[in-house]
Amino acid sequence: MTRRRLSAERRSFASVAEDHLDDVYRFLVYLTKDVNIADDLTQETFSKALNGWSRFDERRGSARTWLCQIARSTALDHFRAEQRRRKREEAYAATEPVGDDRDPFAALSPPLRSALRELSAADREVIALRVILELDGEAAARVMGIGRTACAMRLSRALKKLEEKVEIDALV
Amino acid sequence: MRWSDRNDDDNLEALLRGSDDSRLGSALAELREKAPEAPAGLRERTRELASQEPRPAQRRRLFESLRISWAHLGAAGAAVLLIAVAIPVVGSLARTGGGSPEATGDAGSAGETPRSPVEEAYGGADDGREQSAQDSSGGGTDAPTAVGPQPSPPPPPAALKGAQPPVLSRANDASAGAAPVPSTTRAQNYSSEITLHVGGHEELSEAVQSAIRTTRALGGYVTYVDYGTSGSEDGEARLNVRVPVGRVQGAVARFSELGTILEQQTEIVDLQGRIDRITRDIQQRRDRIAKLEAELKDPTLSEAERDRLEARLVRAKRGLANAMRSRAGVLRQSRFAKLDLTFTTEKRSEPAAPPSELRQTLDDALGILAAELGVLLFVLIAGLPFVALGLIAWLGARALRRGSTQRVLERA
Repeated sequence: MTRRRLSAERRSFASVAEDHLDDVYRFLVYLTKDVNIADDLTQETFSKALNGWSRFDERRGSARTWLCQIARSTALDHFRAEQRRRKREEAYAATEPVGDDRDPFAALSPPLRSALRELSAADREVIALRVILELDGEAAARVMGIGRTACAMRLSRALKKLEEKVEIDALV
Repeated sequence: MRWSDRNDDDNLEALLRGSDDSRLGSALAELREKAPEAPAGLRERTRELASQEPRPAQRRRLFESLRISWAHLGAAGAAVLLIAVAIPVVGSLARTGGGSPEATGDAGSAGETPRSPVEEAYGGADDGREQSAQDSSGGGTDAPTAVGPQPSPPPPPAALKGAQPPVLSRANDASAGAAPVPSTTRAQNYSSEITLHVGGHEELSEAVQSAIRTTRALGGYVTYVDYGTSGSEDGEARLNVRVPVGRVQGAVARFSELGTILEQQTEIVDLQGRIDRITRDIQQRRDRIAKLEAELKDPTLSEAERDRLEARLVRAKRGLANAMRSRAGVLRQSRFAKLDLTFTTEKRSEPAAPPSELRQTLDDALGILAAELGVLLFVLIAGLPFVALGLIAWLGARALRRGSTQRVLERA
């Protein structure tokens, strides 16, 4: 009876947010390469998470996976809106990010920093999930909405690219 | 050596675990070590946002109460068991709800001789529940004719039948050949068809002769005989006999002893209503005749008037005579029962023993399940194309969505 009651008890949203704020922020930084946008999207992610907190079911996945799914969806919405805006205005180059000049990867070594910036968002996404957040293959695949094998292949490709670019940058 | 040059399946996992000493391994370790942290401002804002968390709603408690437990599984099992028990019970009630097993043709155990529906209805006494009759004029009023090869009798009367299901019983069985008791207070047209099996040619001949003797002994007469044999053993004889209604039970019992009953069908048609109508008509005609005769005694009648009244009187007397003849014919018909006997050497296959109650219940339950499966199958077959289309559409939409997402991420 006690065990059932304990298992039925739920962590508060505040504690979940405290535990996983850095994870969500890092994920969004890697996706967007922009600290300001990542800041905004993190805020938006937790706002959405708060609204959907009553529907969250721990049996279907961890809170971190759930938050990353919301963050990814929020980032995709941002990217799509940004692309539409760029098409309308045609004022910026397609690859020009919108944000401030602060480099989110400034703490990294120059070859790694340069290599990361050259990777696509898709590559950075899988690296963030598997390397930075250290999600297992199944959880990462769930966040990205793909199969576990596809996730492994995507990670492998992303790491190869990263390795190549790091070596090239190191040589330069 | 580059990490990507090694084709080792465990290569990737080792790299992620940090146990790979390649340049890429070092790079990933650096990525982990120098991962960005959320700024203090964002942390504060998130804390403020999280503090707005509402109290757990009742819906959450309800949702939690829906979690499957052993109690739920037990309740589900009990429900399934209840349905499994209810189906045969409902089937059994539905089957027996329309009447007794005897009334629906269930003869009970094989050792019992089932009573005919007419017998059930009459219960061995006249309670006035006779079936209504159609017009049966022309039948059952024939005069006795000579025994032997005779012309075919007139066609049998059309009547509503109180049919009895096929009966198979031994002639020496005490209950074999039981016949419904005719009414003693109402005029009825009683007819019965009995098919009996006999052993061979000799038994066939003896049975026919015995039936004729029995008919005469009971005060009846034979109206039709058809006797034929073929081969060494095959043969069949048909007899139409009339016996007084009051002795029909004894006649049926004695005929039943001539062989093994294969089939018996009895019909009783009520004639009392017809007789009552004719009787009323006769009385009306008599009254009219008396009135005409009184009018004719009037001396003041003119010649023409007298002629007209006399003509009417003649017509009335002719009608009265016809009505009385008609009533006499119907009464004659009701005094004799018509028995159609068929003796055959051909052994018919015995009907299967009636299924047991349990077997019928199981059959009913299986029938219901089969019907449900049929409906389910129909729904599946009819809905399968739509399900397939929906599945294809869903898969297509998912592929498009994934492709779109991938393009967005590649461009970002």
